[in-house]
Amino acid sequence: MKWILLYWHKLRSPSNAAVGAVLGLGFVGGIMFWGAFNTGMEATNSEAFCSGCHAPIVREIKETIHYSNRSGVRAICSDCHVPHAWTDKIVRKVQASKELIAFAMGTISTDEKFYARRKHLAVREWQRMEENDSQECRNCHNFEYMDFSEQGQRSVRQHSTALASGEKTCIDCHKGVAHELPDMSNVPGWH
Amino acid sequence: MSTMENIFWHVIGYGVMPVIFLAGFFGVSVVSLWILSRSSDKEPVSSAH
Repeated sequence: MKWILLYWHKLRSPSNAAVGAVLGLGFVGGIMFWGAFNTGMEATNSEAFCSGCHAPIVREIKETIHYSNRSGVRAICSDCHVPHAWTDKIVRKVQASKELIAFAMGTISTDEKFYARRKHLAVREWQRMEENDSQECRNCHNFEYMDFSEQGQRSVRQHSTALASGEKTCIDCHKGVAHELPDMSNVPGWH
Repeated sequence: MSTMENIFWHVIGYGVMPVIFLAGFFGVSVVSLWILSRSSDKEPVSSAH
């Protein structure tokens, strides 16, 4: 209590320092805080961090076009699984606090446990992407700039109809583009 | 994720944002007050008006 009163008294009292010095401390301190906060948050977006729990799935991506391709552009976990907008990212990070409990309980602490839970995790992620119109796909893949002459016939047929009309979204068809598919029984549209 | 769960996480998530800003203000102010106390604001608290 004493420290709180002292702190409050200090905040209410004028400083002997020059106004520029006080403002400078706040300005520089604000930049440092914001930089440290976002750096810390970005650290939780790194592949090494994700591998801490999801190691089997991080290994799988190395076999896909999202990891290695002719142009050298690659996606890491957070590019597809964490919203890019700051407010949406904070909501997702707060939601991830629940996953810390799963980490503490060792819910997917072994490969066996992970594969047993894989479908549950995949279904949740597919649902999330259906609800946000595959926003994380669209961060890189823009429908407006798709060149249908470069696509296969089946792709053109689906993209020019179902995707163009909004009837379907990317994830409805493009499941398992960066990971192996789980057991797809009872998944709508798959048989 | 159910609608209820979705609403819950969005309320908590957006509620955390002002907490982050206030925590930043608190942290910067504590460090700034400490730096000032080492230089310009050396007089004891009791002598302040």
